[in-house]
Amino acid sequence: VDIQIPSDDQVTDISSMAGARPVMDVALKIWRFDAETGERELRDYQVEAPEWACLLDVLDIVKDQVDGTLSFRKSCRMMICGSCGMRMDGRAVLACKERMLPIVEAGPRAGDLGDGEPADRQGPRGRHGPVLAEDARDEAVARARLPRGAGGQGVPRLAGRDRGDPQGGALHQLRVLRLRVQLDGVRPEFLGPRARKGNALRRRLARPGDRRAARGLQLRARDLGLHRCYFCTERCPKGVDPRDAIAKLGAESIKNGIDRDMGAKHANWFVTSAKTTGWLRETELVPKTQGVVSSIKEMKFAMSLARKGKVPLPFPPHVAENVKAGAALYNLVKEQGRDGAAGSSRARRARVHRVRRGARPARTERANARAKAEAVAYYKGCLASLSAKELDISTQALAPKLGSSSTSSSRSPAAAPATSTRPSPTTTST
Amino acid sequence: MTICNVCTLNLRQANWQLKNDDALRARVNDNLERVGVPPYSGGDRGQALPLADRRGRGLRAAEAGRPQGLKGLKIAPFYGCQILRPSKILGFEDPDRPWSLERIITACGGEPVDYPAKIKCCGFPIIQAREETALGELIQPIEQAMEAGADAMVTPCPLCHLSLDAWQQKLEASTGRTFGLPIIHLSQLVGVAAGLTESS
Repeated sequence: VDIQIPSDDQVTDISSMAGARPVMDVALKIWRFDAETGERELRDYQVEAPEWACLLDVLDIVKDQVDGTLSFRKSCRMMICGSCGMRMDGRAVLACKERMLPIVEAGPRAGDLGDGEPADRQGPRGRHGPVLAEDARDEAVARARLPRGAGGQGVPRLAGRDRGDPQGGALHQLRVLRLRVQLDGVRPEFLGPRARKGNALRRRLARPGDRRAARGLQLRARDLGLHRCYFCTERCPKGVDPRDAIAKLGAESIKNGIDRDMGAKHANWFVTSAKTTGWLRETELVPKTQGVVSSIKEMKFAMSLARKGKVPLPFPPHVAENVKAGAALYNLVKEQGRDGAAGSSRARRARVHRVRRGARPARTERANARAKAEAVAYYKGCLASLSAKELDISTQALAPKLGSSSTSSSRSPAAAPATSTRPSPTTTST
Repeated sequence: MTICNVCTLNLRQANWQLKNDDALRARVNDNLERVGVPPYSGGDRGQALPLADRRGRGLRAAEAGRPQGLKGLKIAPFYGCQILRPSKILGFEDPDRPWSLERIITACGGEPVDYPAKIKCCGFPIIQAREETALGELIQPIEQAMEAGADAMVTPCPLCHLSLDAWQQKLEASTGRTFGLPIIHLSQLVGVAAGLTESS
């Protein structure tokens, strides 16, 4: 290999450019946290930074030149490791990726953290608290293995811990899951040298009849404390969608005939409900999911709900309009092979959206959209028609008070446009 | 307008995917045509009740129409997951610092109570599979809201309502404690403030 080293006169002395390089003034408000006292405060910093600087560069400047106590996590500095993920102006960002020049050019937003609410009115939650100081191992596991001791002492203990660190659990879930995803190679982009050594999420999709695989897959996901609560998806600055990965694995398991576990039965009953009535057959959901024996054990609880009108009678069945079309659509999609993981595309679409986010519609388009929004179709969904009828009743009773007229409809309740400022051009059916 | 967080997310997610993916929209519309239903035109965007009126007309109507108001009742807002996250789909409310419910509570004459778990999961999605885990989620908003002095809790999500309300008795049995926190739907809260009677 022939390596040519340039002579000294061909090398640019970067230090000599210091006075000439374009710079910008950057003002930051950073949440600071005192681990000893628990106090938090939003502290102002103002530094001069080169125009090419990213957020991480600016934070380095603050730490080097202004406040050495500022702490933040960083590692690769090249948008790979995710260590410098943080919240800025209400967004999850990678500090090493976020260029500051456009933000500076957009102008200062004094007293504003980007959500329109002044900092002193944002409540005491301290979203940017001691998330880096938490125990990296036990939060999610503890969440999934609450002791059932006398009086359930484990539950309040966990709540107490969470109160001190409201976002720590969620961020930890993301870190744990991301580690698992990397280890297990659920997303090809994250295949690494240890890709075949993990076991939290499955390395391979379960085969038909592979009961152990399905059980392992679903129990492990639960052990991570992931309850489809969307925090992991919301937090990831790299657009990883763990929820979608788990949903795909679940869907693929069912497609492969692994459907005896409770999660699969639960999902399958939704499909059955949609195909047969177009509505959730809510009263039958528990026995179909948990089984007859378990349901009998819950009879006392069910009776207490029934006395409050929370258990709708399954007969006569509540059948939606166009239910045959819905069933035909399901069969058609299945014939096309788009059941299972192929039918899920949330993560891919999310990335598309992120790229397109900068292009806002023109002012006239937005005005037209607002004008169209005057026509409102009322969609109450399943629960408000079944076990939560009081929600529908109160909404419809409230509508005239809020200046909307109530109208009845000959359509199925799922599509009844109850409130409208003018005749609705669109109605939606289940 | 939707009155359910789950409906809101699913409708917005479907709408968003169809609008941003021409191939998907073409395939879906082809399938819809084959089963004899109208194609998707892209005109809908699911909007949840607390967020449906962003220009404040509904709030002003609520303020004007509350002869009794909530008389300073301390109300704990509970948002639920699927009205806040993923924010890239739901779009216009900071998922960490939402404010719509507080604004509605204030407009209705109540006093909003702030607590960390108001944006967290109610535990319902896992309540059948692992009830003890779900109760671990459930106790957080209830306990924190009560410690913050809440007289009642309001939620825009019927699933969260079911979890917080119906399963509260199981939580009491599990922990040996008595909570007794009333959980009300958002429309009920505004209805009370607007002078609706119980019979209405």
